[in-house]
Amino acid sequence: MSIFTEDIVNFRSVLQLAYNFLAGRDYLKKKKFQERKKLISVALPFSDLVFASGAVPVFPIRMEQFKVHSYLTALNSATNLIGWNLTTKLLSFVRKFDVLKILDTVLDDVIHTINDKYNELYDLGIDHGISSDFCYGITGLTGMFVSKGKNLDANINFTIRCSAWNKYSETLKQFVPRQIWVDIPPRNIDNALELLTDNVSQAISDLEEITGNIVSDNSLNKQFRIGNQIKRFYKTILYEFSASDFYPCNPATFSEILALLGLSYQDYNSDNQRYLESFSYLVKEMRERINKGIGMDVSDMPRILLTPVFGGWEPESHEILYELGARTIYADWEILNLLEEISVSKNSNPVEEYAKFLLNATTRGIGYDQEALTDSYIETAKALNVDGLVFNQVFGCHSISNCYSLLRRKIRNKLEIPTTVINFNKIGDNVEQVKTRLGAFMEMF
Amino acid sequence: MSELKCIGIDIGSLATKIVLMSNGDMVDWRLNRSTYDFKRVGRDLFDDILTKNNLSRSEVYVMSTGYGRNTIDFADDRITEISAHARGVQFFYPEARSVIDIGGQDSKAILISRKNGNVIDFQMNDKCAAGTGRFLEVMAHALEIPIDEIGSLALESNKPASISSTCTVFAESEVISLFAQGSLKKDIAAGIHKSIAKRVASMAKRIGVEPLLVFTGGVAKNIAVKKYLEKELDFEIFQPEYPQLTGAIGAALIAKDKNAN
Amino acid sequence: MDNIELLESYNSYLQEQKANGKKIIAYLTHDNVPIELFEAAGFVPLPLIFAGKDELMDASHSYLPPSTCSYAQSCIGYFSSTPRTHEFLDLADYILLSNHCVSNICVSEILSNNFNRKRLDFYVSYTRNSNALKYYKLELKHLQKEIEGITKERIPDHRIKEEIIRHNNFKTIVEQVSKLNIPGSEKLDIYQKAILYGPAIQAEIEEIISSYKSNTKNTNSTHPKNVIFTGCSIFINDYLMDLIEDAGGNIVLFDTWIGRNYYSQTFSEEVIASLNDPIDLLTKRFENNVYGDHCVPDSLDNKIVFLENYVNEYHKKYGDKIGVINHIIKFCDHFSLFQSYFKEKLQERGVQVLNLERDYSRSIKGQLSTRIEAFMEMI
Repeated sequence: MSIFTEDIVNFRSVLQLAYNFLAGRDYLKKKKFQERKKLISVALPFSDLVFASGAVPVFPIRMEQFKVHSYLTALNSATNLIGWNLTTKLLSFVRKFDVLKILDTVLDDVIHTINDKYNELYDLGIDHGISSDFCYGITGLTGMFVSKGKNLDANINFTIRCSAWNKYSETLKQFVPRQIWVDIPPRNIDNALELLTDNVSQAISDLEEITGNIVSDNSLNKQFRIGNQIKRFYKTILYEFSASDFYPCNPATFSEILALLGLSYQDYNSDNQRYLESFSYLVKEMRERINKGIGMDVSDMPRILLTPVFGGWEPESHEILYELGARTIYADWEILNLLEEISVSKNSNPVEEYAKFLLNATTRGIGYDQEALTDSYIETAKALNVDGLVFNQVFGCHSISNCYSLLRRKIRNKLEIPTTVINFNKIGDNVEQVKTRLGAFMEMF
Repeated sequence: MSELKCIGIDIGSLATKIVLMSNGDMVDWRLNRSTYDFKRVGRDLFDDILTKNNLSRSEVYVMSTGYGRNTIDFADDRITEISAHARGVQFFYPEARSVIDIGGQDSKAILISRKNGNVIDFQMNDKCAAGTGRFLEVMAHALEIPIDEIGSLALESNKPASISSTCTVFAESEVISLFAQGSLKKDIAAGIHKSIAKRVASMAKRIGVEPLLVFTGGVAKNIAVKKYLEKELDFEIFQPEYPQLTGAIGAALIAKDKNAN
Repeated sequence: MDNIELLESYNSYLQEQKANGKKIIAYLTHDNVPIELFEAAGFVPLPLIFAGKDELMDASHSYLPPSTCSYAQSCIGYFSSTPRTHEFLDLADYILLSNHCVSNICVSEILSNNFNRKRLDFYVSYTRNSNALKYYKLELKHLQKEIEGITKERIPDHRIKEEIIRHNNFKTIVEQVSKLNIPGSEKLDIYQKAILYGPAIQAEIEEIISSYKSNTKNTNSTHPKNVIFTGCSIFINDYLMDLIEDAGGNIVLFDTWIGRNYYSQTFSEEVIASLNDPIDLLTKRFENNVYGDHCVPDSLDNKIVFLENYVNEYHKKYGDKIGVINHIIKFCDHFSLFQSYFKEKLQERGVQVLNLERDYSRSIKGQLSTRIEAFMEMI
């Protein structure tokens, strides 16, 4: 096997994740109409209960029709025919491309395809009447519901500290009449955990009613085990690979992989087992590449944590930082404590364990106040050993974006690393300003 | 007894318009820049139209409208430009059901009742200048072309540039960076018009505008905005002969209706 | 026009309270704040119900991005701009941090951290299900403990209950204002003053009501365009009320926190008698607050149904089909987000709605005026 073919095959997991994201529509149609599964929308990584109930969690953009890159289509055809092994068909296709650039090109195309769709749905949200004063994330999500919400059987909503988020969730009933709510108490005081456990139980009952399935302790634990393994792999990529001095690929591509993971993690591409396998492959493949010396020495490139991006960000940012000599790490779910494992044991009550996970994320990650949230930023930045932090201030975000002044002060006092803020309104809106700001930021190193 | 003559005066942020109407017909009109002194410009136009038509103050009923309607101390009554435009378009198109008015500082979408021609809903842009005449002015300045040429230049393009910014300030820097990337002026101009049309159409869709839609205000003279608005709304829109005068005509007609009652 | 007299007398009132050794707790407007608990412990509540201005908003920008709600920005401005717009704010000893919306959290935290005000916490669940009610009780008990920690004295249950009854009676009296045949601006002045002082001015409010009752002049008739005002409250010294009345409008119902959401949150005597624990009574009030904009998932629909019924009842009674002005302070999470949905649902029910979105800048006054006048012309 030539190095050339190995290069391609060794990153098949990334391409598979990308394909599963973009080809979601056909997959979901099959689930809904052939397998008679219930589609339940999720946003932010809160898919566990839906998986455990046997329903299909859907981050609603995946119901859209995407333009799938021709390479991904060929790859999928080859997979369907003879699995993921190397095929003559695949090879002949691959040779048409500039070998060293193939992953960059395809991934870049995937990210742009998703972002173009995001912008389209953002416009749809505005057309539907969401004020352009609201954050990109909520407006885009509204557009997703305007576009394809009717295909959903229910939504699962979790109350978090962002009041716009909670109010947005309230309005979703105009698209999807069946709403499931998990009200998370704002603070962990007295028996708040008990109350939350009861709320989670109620949500499970709702899911049972919708799916007709029984959600047993076993089904919950099974999902948590899968989820925990995925979280471990995710953390390996964040803590082991992104901190390493040798990357398995171009750092801009690495950032794109992190961006894709951030997006796809919300609904695990609607198939937990398949996602786990892809993640497992991804870690294996990254490690193999590093061991074989395939990739890039990044020891002289500062590690930059760019966050938060889940509510929308300028996807050119990591390319700009790369051109300026830095590597970008996206780690939102870790900062929000959503990559914490859920305890699974014979004697534990899985409903309560899930409630503990939610309460921990609320109080320590998402934060019931700015102190808690900014502490989480600082802890994660420290743990990731980053050299700088770029804060993505999303226009119209009143929750996380408002904490920058406090965060900046804490970074100065506790970490002493360079920090800057970039403003985001809509993808492509102010790339020039981002370039200028990041240019000045990189001059600090 | 001869019918009372009615004058509608529309004090916009950029231009002041005045019309004299008699027996439901437009007899005379004037238009001038508003400048900082709304009151004086309005007074001068008013005096001029009276003199040229051999009329005295007592022979006319004056209805003011527009941004500076309250500054006109010689007006007998005042009305908002929303009602004035709704009434004004029916002078040109009695079947009009919707109006899009893009002026210097504001853009508006108005829905007219089928039953009685009254306003049944309206929507205005927010404080932001995107989607107004001001936006076009800033962009024309960035492109270094006169404002009245930007529309025809845009129509020469087959490949409008993508202007994604909804904010005037960001859009200006976007235009500059498009220049830097070698984009053609005509493509950028087309992109600018497309962006305005998109924003205004989005606002108009919110109140459910429908045909027959009349496009008024100073920006209605720009053929490229009209073309892109039609694309966004997916139906034909109409411009009156004097789009800038619609508000003043509407005000004069409302004055007439009022006196008839 | 600025109500200088009200603010001067309020300043003297707070100075006097302070001189008597009372501690002052400032809080951002919130319809779930248990002020009875503060008063039972001998504290003076200071609701931040003052309208913003350009200068106040500008003064907040070193703490918050400009895309934060104008009211939240202005609250920072009250404390950070010099000279102080309202000197009495310097008298506040504590800031209540609550989560009515996320801006409420941010602003309270900034005020506490940057302007040396000790912080008290009071969080409210986003639903009103049975567990949320239990959680509300937990928060009440925590707040009580926090206050007791300051005073080093237990607050006896009977004191809390006395305060609940005192406020309950006061609100019942304030409710009578809503039925008076007086211009909206005069009602608003009374509501604002009532919320500012609380039951301390009960006698004065009673006197005002009785003087209005004896004056039989029908002041509504001078304002032919009657409307309901909903959404964000009109705060003290806001010019908005003038714009509405100048346009010929008259607000017959303030369906806002400064208005109906305040005075309608009362208990019957039976309920008061049936619940011995005052914490249960306060929780009951939270449970009954079905129109409060903090909660999901039904507050919006409850509001729509209420308004539709009110409009229909009004039509039956007076023959007028009144419109609704939905006041949205720019970047308000609660009212801005669902404005289209709100308008659409009410219009489907035949109610005309003006979504009036604005910030506190002077430059927007002309455009606001046009919108209001056009709405009045429309209805």
